[in-house]
Amino acid sequence: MPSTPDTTTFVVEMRNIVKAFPGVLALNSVNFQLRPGEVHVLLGENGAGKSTLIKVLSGAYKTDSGEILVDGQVVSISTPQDALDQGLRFIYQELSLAKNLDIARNMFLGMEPTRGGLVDEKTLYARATQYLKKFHIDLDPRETVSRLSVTEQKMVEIARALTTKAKVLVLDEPTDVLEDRSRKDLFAVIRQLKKEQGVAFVYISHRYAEVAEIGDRVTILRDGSNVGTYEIKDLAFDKMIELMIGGEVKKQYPDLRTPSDENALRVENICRGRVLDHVNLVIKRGEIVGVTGLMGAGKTELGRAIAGVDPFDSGEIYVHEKRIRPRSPQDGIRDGIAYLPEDRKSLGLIQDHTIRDNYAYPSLYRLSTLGIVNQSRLDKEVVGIMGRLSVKAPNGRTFAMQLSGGNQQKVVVAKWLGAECQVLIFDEPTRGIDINGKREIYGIMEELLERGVGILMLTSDYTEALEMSHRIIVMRRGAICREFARGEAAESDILREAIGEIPAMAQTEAPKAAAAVG
Amino acid sequence: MQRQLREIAGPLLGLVLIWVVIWALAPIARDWEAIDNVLENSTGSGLFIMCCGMTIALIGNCLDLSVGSIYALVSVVVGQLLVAHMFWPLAVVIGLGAGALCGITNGVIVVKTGIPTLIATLGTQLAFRGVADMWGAGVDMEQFGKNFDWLGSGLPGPLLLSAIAFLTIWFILSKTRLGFQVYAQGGNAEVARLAGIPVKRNIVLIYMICGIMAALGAIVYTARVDFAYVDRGQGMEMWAIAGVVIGGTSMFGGVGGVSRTIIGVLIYESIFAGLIYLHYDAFWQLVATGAVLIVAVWVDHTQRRASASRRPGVTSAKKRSLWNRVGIGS
Repeated sequence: MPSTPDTTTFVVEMRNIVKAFPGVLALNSVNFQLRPGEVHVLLGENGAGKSTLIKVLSGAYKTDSGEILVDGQVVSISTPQDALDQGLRFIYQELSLAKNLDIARNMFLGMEPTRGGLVDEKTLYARATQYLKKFHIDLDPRETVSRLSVTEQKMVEIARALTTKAKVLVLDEPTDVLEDRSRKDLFAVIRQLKKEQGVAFVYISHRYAEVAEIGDRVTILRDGSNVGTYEIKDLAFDKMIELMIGGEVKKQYPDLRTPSDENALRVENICRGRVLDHVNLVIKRGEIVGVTGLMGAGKTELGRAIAGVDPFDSGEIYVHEKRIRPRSPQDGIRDGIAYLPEDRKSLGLIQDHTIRDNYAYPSLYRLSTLGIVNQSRLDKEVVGIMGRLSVKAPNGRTFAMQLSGGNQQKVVVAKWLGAECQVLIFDEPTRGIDINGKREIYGIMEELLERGVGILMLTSDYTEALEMSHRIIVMRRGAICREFARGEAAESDILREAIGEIPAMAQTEAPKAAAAVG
Repeated sequence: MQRQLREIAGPLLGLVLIWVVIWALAPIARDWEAIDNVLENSTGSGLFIMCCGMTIALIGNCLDLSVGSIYALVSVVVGQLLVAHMFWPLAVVIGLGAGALCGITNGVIVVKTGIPTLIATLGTQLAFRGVADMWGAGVDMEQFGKNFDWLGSGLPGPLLLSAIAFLTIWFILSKTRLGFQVYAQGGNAEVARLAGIPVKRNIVLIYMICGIMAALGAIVYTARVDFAYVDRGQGMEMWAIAGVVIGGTSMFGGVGGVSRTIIGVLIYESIFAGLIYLHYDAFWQLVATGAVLIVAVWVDHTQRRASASRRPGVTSAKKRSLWNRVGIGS
């Protein structure tokens, strides 16, 4: 393998790829060239065609016309197996692990080390341990995957892809669920792999900051067309955004108004086992309090306990200074607290139900008299809210699964607006949503504030926490370790508080780990 | 209305085709008698009423294997009361109450233990039949009187009660809060819980309704044959599930409707009738129904997968296996 990028031949070249779906031209004669040993970022809004292009390359979709070359040879990729045979590896946004198996089994699925025809468990677990350590994934290889959080599962997937000999590794928003530390480790590994083995990366991301950090070149897609391929160092940030959205860059975060003096929510000394440790917080009406911290710091657990989704051991909760005791989400909603889960796909919406029905579920008690649902009122409200939040769908009878990520999130928000709660707990409100979608979600949050709602925003995106909160609370090991006022902190301050002390392993083993891959 | 018609279009077309074939090959079937037969068979046995209950159960993801035993148990209860000269409407109400009680038992077991519905209702299937045997074995229960017998005789009685059962379930599913909640929790129990839906209470209610419907079915048939007998309803739960699923209600919960169930039941009853007109052996009925069941679910499954992948960005249909849903496996 050449150690310097060879500019004459491409490891993967896609020529004039056309792919149409009923009513949509998803890819309009797209050209894409991948050099050996480069990190090529694929940028574009949701629906720009990134995923479709990748699915063509992976054999999941057949092209209508166009050809794919690997190492200068025209190849036919019509099944996922063809792509694998060509040395192409894919990590998708959606998890694809066998949940009933443990981590090590998943990492070596289909290529378990064997001895005498039987799986050599000793080697299996030893190698799994070695790889997990390499990426600073502090997990037991014998842990069953179904017991892991989404984030942890993602890490296992990445570790799995990197255990096989890969010529090209396609990463579809890999860091979206990773926290800062793991992301840095992942980048170190990517750099090592491309330098020493000439592995080429196709990297799809929404995080513009990391595009410059990791990418060599970038291809920008808009409405199914390639609007340009650039060396990243030659491309200004604003220009990049402009190309992507095809217009002027609008301001991403709204200005936040001063909240009122009244308390929307007051939480005192909430404790739950080892997960939550005497948490106190106050949210004013019209205020966003951002809670951030590393994975496992207890953000989600805090939100779920307050809303009555999970039980807690002790502590008191007040909504508008009235003591409440939520023992179930039903209680929480009745008392005015709603929890909007992070995992939209499996917890936010029922995918094969319509927008209308999904909207109705939390509001059924409000919408019905004597147990009968007032459906004309429901229909009217659905039309109203879809217009207000500009949900892009033909009508309320559209199924949730037919919507893009951003529109799904809008429906999730719509559904909880309908419940008319005084306190909304947003768990990772904009994860996996593109720049326009994010702006719209922030706009909706701002509108909620004007109506006197208090918002608890649980986020691992530090920029979001800094820009979209009146106050920022940093959690560590189930306790609040620091509170910052708006504008008081920088990302590095938050990170320092979130980590606490820098763990010895991360410092000493990162370079070693990267070297071990090579 | 148009939307509902579209939803049942597939099964309806199948039903029409079956009759076209029957009428083409068997001229003797070309009269009202043939249709009347099919209607009487599906309503008079109480099967259709039971299917109405099973529809709400499957939509709410509450599989109920005990309906056949409830059917036997209620037959015995009502038979005993009538033999003891109880005023017949009171006996009917008590019979329905017994069905409700059985259903509540199912629901409470599922909610309190958290064991898979398949296992829970398999257990109660045996237990309810045991109770029926205890009360009814060796006892003569017959000749209940004209008024009671009207409920099951000929077409009018069974048809009326079937219509009541159908309209009740239809009303619950499409108009009431409970109906919305049943769809929600059948679609995704955790989403439903987060939306403040009392999932556990509803499970008990769903089983109760299903039990009441099985009881009503048992009453119709007991009146029709004018005697009660403990050995009734063996394997009937399978016919009930088949009718619902052939109609196009999902085995996986959250999708379906009771109007589809009418078509589902009529499809296999028509096949039975057709095979008889065409002089096939009765055993072929089972083979044919089995085949229809498999084809119906397969068509539904493929359609759903197609609609899920119709748009880019939507990659996978529901990756839920049947066995996961009924609780076997992880």
